[in-house]
Amino acid sequence: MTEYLGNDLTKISNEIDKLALNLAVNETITSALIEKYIGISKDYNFFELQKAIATRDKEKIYNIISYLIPKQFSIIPAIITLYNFFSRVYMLAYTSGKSNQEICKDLGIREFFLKDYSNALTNYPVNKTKMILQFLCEYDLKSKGVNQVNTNDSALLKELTWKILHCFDFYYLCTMKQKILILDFGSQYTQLIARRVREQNVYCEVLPFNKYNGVDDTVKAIILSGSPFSVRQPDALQIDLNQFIGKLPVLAICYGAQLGCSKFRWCCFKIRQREYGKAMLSEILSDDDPLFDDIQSNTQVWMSHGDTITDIPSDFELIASTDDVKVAAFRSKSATYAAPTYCLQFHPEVTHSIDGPKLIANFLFKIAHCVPDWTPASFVEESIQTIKEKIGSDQVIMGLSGGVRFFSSCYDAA
Amino acid sequence: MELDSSVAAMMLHKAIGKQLICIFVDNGLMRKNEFEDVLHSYQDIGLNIIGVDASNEFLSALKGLSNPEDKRKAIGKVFIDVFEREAKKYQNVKWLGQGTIYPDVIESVSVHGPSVTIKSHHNVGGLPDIMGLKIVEPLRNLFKDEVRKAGRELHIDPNILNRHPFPGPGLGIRVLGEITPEKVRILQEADAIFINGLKKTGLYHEVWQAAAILLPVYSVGVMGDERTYEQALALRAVNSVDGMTGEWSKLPYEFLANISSEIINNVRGINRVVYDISTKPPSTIEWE
Repeated sequence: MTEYLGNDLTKISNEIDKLALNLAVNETITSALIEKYIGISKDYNFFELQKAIATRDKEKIYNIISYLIPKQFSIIPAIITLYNFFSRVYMLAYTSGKSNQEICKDLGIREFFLKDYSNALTNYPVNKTKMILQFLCEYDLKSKGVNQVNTNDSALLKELTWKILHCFDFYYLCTMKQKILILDFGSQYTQLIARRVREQNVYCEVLPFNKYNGVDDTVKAIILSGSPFSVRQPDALQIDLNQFIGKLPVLAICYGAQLGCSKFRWCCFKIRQREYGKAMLSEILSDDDPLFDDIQSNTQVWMSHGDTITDIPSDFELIASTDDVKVAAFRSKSATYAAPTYCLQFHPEVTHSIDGPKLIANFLFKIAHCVPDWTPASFVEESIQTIKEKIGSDQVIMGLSGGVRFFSSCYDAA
Repeated sequence: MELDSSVAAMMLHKAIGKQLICIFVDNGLMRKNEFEDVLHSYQDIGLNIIGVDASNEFLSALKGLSNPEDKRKAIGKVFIDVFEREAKKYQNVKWLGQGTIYPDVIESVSVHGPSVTIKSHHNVGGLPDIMGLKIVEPLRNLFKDEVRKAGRELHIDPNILNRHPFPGPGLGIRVLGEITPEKVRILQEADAIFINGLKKTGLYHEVWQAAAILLPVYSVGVMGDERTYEQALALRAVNSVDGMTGEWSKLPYEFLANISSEIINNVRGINRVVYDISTKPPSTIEWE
């Protein structure tokens, strides 16, 4: 009963009283009776769910979840139960050479339960267990409303169990759980964008714009780089923005923003003198726009563009201006697309844009809802794991010399 | 040894231990004692590293060459020859490890036209093809600063992680003109005085890269009662963020004066020291 009701004693005592009222004299309390009078079943609690997940008994998992859905349950105890379980499975993976007794002592479990954990470890090898623990953390945050506006615990539990069961496929599809895709239009600053994103501990990849070939679930947002080309040139670099605009959060920088403008006839251009250098975002029009969270008016930004956007369409709204450039930043109105598009005329990736890192962090975390999981520690650990799997028992040879790699195009960069 | 390769090797070592075989080639163009120091420090931490002294091969290949491009090519070719010869001793090897990093492989859009140029893969000499090896590049997704962070995570000696960049052809492009064993020895001595001086005074980490360059210029000097006719040495120190642009370092005059007299007094063959005060661009960091 505690598993279902939690450890609120008054609640438990209430339920027991209720049960006692309904009991016939000398009748033994059975699980059927409990189910009948209290509405919980021994077979359908989180502990059973954990067992079913550990043994990959899909039918049982399905039954338990379908049973739970109509009940107004909280996902938190489920996450706690599963986390306790899988963290021990994870620990178990690193106990080789120890006796069963020692292992049980380390894990804080009775020897009787050890086989449950070792069975789970055969079903979920160590790197998958690690992923499951990450999923659990992620859903714990989601259940508390982080990066999730409407939390619906039954939907979350469904998603979570699906991910746990299918993390195999996930794992082999990609080594990184999530990433940002940067489409390069030839800007000298493209690599800077990538570095600014990585500095926020979010993984990203740079792809030439014409190599874009759809995205998978791991891509959380797309950033469009600037370009030395003008969108008014007949041979301007083109890409079909419909492939992703509105479907994923997009941050379009300079040329990217202008490309959208010309493509969608969002707005018109004025040819004017090239603007190059520092400018102040004198007006941030939208106080509550997440992109400008914690960024004050009059922050210095870096401008570098030949064309100027003069007008934006009705389903977009202006969010910032400088004294010289009215359209310095604008976004799709919330009703326009499922995922917002942000367009910037300035370059947040350049260090002269003082609040650039903050703005990029806002886009990554508050708009694209990324998790900062790209850290040196995670990279090293994952790489070592990948190398082990890739190399197996083969031998690797490596040539080392005193200076910059010989097998590298860089050696003449000095 | 250079940062990217060190970190890549350590990463592979952590993952597969003795299955990794590192061939460390002494081209005779490293800094003074560098080969022995690096070899021992890596052997101490258990890396399966084999030192190969090929300095004579390199020096004889360089004989008579004074054009920088020819020198680079010769050094690169001998390196590959030596490496291949050594690698053939290990019949069961299936993989070639490389310290490639993200900027090496990132495809970029050319500014000269709307076409995409793909960086030529940097297996100079087509080594993996010849040897039929598959390639493993653990740092392929990392930027330089991330390589350094990963190195810290792998507990690599901070002295290696924070070392100045050093060109692949080593002192081969810091002895201007034709290279002889004697010139390399002179440069090694002078370079060691300069670098140790920077370290002793705490200036080493204030500069991005520091080098001594042996100039093919002879000038007259006077030492005691004797006139000398010896080579000039240039000192170069630059400050930079990424190596793409650079300012010459404003090293204290007193420091420069001390280094200059220490070199001239101790290194036979040098009687004049000058300091390079050009920025990149238009000059480059290295002279060749």
